[in-house]
Amino acid sequence: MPVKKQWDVVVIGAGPAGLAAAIAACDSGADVCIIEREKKPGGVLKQCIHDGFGLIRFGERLSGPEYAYRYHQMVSERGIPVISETYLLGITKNQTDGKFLLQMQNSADSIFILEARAVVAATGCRERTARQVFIHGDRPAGILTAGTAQYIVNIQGFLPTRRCVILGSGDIGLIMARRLTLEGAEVEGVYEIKPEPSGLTRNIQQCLTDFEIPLHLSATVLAVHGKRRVESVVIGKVDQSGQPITGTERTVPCDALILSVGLIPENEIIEPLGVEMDRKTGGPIVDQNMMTSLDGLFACGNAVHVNDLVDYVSESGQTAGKAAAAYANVQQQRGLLSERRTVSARRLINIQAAGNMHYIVPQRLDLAHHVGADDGADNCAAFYFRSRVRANSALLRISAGKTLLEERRYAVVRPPEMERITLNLADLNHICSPDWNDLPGQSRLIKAELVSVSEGGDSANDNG
Amino acid sequence: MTMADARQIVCIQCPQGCTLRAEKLGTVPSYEITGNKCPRGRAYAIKELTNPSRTLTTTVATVFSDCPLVSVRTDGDIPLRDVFRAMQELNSYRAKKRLHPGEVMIADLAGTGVALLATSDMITPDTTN
Ligand SMILES: Cc1cc2nc3c(=O)[nH]c(=O)nc-3n(C[C@H](O)[C@H](O)[C@H](O)COP(=O)(O)OP(=O)(O)OC[C@H]3O[C@@H](n4cnc5c(N)ncnc54)[C@H](O)[C@@H]3O)c2cc1C
Ligand code: SF4
Repeated sequence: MPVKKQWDVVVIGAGPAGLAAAIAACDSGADVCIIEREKKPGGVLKQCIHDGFGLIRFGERLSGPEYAYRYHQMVSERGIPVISETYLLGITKNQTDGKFLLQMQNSADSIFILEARAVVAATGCRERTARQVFIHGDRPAGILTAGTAQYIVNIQGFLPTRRCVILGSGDIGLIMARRLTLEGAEVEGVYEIKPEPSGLTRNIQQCLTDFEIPLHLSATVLAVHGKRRVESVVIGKVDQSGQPITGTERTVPCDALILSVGLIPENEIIEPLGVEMDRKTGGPIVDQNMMTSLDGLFACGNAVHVNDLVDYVSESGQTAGKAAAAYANVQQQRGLLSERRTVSARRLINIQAAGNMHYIVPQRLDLAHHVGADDGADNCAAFYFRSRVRANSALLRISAGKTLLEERRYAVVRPPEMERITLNLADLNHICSPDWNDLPGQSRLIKAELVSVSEGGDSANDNG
Repeated sequence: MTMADARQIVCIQCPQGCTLRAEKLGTVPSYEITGNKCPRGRAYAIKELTNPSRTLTTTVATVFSDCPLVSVRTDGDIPLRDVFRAMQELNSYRAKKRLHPGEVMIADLAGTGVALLATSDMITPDTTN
């Protein structure tokens, strides 16, 4: 299929983030296409056959494939091309005209270039693997991530184990504990090194408790044995500092070890562009329009930070798509007028996560451009944050210098559960301009602070 | 009133996952439910005390070589105790009709009175990547 070469917006990835971005860009009048390395759109939702998706977007408890299908329908209705089985190899930005050059490779192995005024990276996340977790002993077959197990069972239709141990209590591991049990495998137990589970409470209930699968906290896999295939694993308890307690070791015969030890945003493609990254989220730093530190490059969904609700993934995609279209539009007008007018520079303010706030996204606010949040409240921007600790009763305070912008109480905050708030930027503009630039450096930021009244022992962000 | 009449229940109706405290009052039972952030939590807790039920999601085999497997879910909850029986019935089932997501595959799954819906697209299958 001959592919058109020039686009206003090119979206990388046809998962829920990319689909929502393309729809929003199209609805804002942009000429947009989606690049996807797999055969079908939907991203990781294709293998997430369990329900619970779309409660916010559609008011229904859909399964992953149904949610993806609805978005794919909306993409098809608009005639947005999905260029599938095509891999983005790399991006460069032309400094003179500001356009992006995308180097593509398709299944026929031919390499071609697309040009875009704006790019949306919606490349999702990947799982931490055995190499990133330290386990002694052999490396036989039968050590696999929960996502791989999910793909084998739900897409390929095989059972990869008869009796297994699950390491890590991330949501995908919990979902797979139930799934494997339903398919007739035995899940000996789920082992979590931390004193608190990292998955959502409802998944502990409906995936473990319902099926009487034991959850062992402060316990981990110390060694794996087996020559060609896993034959057993050694389990042990750990102390408060995560060190194994001698004398608690126990050997569990099993044919597989399934890892559910967290997800990491996937950004190999945009990192070489020198985009500023957030060490805590593992994704690029973005402003409220989901623009990264590089003008014209947007990011959304799990590529920015690991979300626990797909509905919010779509929301961020929508914002990115709308903003990318607006950016491309300005670029185009410049081109038509062939004037060397500069696009008005962004006026960025950093948002600092303080106290027990593990991270907050977006990490910056652009006071010069704002495309408006999804819910029609155009002056508002959506923010997502996670607490670093578990706390009953926490106080969120967002302030610009001495002015308190938002204060809110939470009955419970837990690291696995992301919170969403909206801020009214109309107030902010008033507070921050025009003399904002005259303020001393350290007060030229917005502070988002989470203060806990009582703490549990849970520590950071490992959901998945 | 004995302690056994009060139970802690995690509501699974939405990702909030509220911890509910449910207490059965009297012999013609009425229930006192606390901890729910919305009314669905109350309905869920009463259901959980009287007849716990769940949505079943799984896959079934088809007769079509271009989409050998299709994902499915029940159209609403079925009693938890019927889940394995339903799985047994589905293990020997072969889908013979191509369906869009959301269309009914089995009208009454394992005598529960609840329908089974296809959730992935069998017309333009997306299960073959
Ligand atoms: C195994 C697994 C299971 C999950 N289960 C759940 C769950 O049960 N519930 C939940 O809410 N969330 C789950 N998540 C999180 C889930 O990723 C999000 O809910 C949501 O699917 C993220 O959407 P996304 O569009 O950001 O990313 P994805 O759905 O991952 O989509 C990214 C897309 O980009 C494509 N892509 C990446 N790089 C390139 C490239 N260089 N060129 C071309 N295409 C590219 C990929 O092929 C993919 O289709 C899971 C994640 C994983 C990894
Ligand atoms: S009580 Fe309401 S808000 Fe709380 S988990 Fe249940 S459905 Fe969600």
